[in-house]
Amino acid sequence: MSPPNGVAAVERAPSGPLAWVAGADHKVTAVRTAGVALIFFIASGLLALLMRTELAQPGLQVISEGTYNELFTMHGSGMIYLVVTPLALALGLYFVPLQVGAAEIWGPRLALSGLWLYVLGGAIMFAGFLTDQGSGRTGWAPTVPLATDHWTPGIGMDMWVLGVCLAVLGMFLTGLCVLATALRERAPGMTLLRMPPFTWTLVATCLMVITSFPVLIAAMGLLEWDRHVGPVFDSAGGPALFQHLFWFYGHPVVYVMFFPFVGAVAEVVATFSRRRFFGYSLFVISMLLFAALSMSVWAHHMFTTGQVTNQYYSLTSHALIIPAGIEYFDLIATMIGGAILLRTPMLFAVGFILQFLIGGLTGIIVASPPIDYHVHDSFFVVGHFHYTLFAGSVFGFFAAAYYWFPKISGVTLREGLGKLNFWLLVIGTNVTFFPMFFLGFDGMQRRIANYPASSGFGDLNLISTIGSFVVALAVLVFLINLWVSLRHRRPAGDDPWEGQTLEWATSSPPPRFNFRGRLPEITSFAPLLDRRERAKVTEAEAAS
Amino acid sequence: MIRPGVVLAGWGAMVSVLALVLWLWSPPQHDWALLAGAALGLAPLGWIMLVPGGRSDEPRAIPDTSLPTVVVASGVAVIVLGLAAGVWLAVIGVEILVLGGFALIRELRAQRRARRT
Repeated sequence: MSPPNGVAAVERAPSGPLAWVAGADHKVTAVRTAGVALIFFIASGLLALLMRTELAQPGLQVISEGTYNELFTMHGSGMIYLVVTPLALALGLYFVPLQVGAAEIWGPRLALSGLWLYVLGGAIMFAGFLTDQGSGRTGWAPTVPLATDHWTPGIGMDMWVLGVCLAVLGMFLTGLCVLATALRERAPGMTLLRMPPFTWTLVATCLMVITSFPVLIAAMGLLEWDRHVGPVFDSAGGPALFQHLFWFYGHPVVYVMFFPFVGAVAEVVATFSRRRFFGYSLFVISMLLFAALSMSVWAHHMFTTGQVTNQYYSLTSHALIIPAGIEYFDLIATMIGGAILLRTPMLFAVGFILQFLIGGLTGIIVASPPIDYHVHDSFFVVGHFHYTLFAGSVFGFFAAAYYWFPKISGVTLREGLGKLNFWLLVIGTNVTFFPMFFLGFDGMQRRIANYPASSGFGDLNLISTIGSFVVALAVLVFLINLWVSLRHRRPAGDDPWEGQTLEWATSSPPPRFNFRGRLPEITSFAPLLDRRERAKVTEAEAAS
Repeated sequence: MIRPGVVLAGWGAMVSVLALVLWLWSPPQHDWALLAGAALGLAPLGWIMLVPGGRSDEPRAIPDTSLPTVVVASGVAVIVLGLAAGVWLAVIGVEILVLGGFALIRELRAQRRARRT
């Protein structure tokens, strides 16, 4: 085979166990990353079900308080470090090279090492459950001095800290490769301002990855040093310093888990509205501004410490509304006047837009210091970030999964099961997370294994627990859909949705070096739409 | 036409402006240094991504599989786990890392030879 863009293969085509472990093709690496992330998703989701069962009624005590601490730590850190971040970057790893017409990812070995560091880091984090004193148990966002060896002793906590370091290092390497691919591996004609919206969201994402992830690795390294070598954070400002270092990663990562799904939804909305994406240039500028601003809001998590400039962080947090508003405007304007096809990917895209809005609007509330003082560390915050990360990112992930699965596997997912998956997820999400706003506002603290019966929190908690099992059912339907669709294959063809970007110009699944033969002419960010429009004009001219 | 370096420099400039505003707003505190550090950190990472490796349209050799890469990553993971479990494990990790490193060098040299031919 003679791959395009001057790339030459020097080794045999991969097959067998060696390819499974060490395949350097970016598509293989991305699918492995997503597959491992789904396994961690199921594991972390089961932990959430246990937590919700514990909280369903006061005084249940299905598990001990110590175990509950482990569960919320491993659920939160599993979902953030091992599920949503890797899923977001895996989408970029698979589709950015395809969208920019590249034959490979920049630095395939780095991307492969990123996968294995992530896998081993995650395994080490979860292996903490097997140790005497249990796994990490200070929350996904640890605080000092609670996370020091004096207050949280045991090798399980060390494994959690070091596992997080490895997993984040792995995702840092993945982000570096994706960014470099978009910047320097583009096909001739694919200028920066002809990159599709999804690729631009990955550029913005990876800029945050390469600047904020190393800070977390440093913070966790210092924490481990503090735990075993000598005090680092025991001075008067030590705990605040640790929080600064942690949240300098901890807030941008929220957008790392969000932007790629905005990009995926942008592609889905344009394709299923049969329209060119509206406001492309403004979207690109707003993404970069959004990414820069989101680097500067981290200390809004520290309003109540009294050691940060609340006005500055409140101002920058509120300023995020501007680029977010532009993106929402672009998405909605793309749909207006379009011939909308409500297939499963589009349903999830619309769900993403509406559901994330609740997360975004409640974000304005917690960005305001006076209100944040009231709801800080309450279930209101839990409801808020689950509306951004679950109702936002997970809906975006499902939109992307249903949209791109035919390209990745060559077969389509079942439409009926997809719609069932969507409606169960809508019901489950809102029944689970909406009551949390009321619980938090009424004073229910987060990270507690029990609450007094006299608090009156029982009914809303029961509703929330029922909702969480509906969410689990929705995920089960998705897994069944994957199994049925892969077992009873319905070939998708190269371009089942009439896509607009280059990945739809190659076979499904794409060959080793992504494209066979010449690429379509690239004249805009939607080259396949351009080609169809040119064909229509030619047809009309011929007819007249 | 916008060049890739402009994207990095432009974004770094946006972050720098935010760092400057934070510094002016709260001079006694040092949290602005994190933002400024992020903007400065873009320079070496930008160099790594954009400068080495020649033009992207030149013929290149790309591996289909790279077992040494996996061995190196495993070595790093074992060393890090050794920090918690004990020096004995870290030493094993170093051995795995060295083994993987040598194999990776061999692989890279073979790749360079293949490119020349």
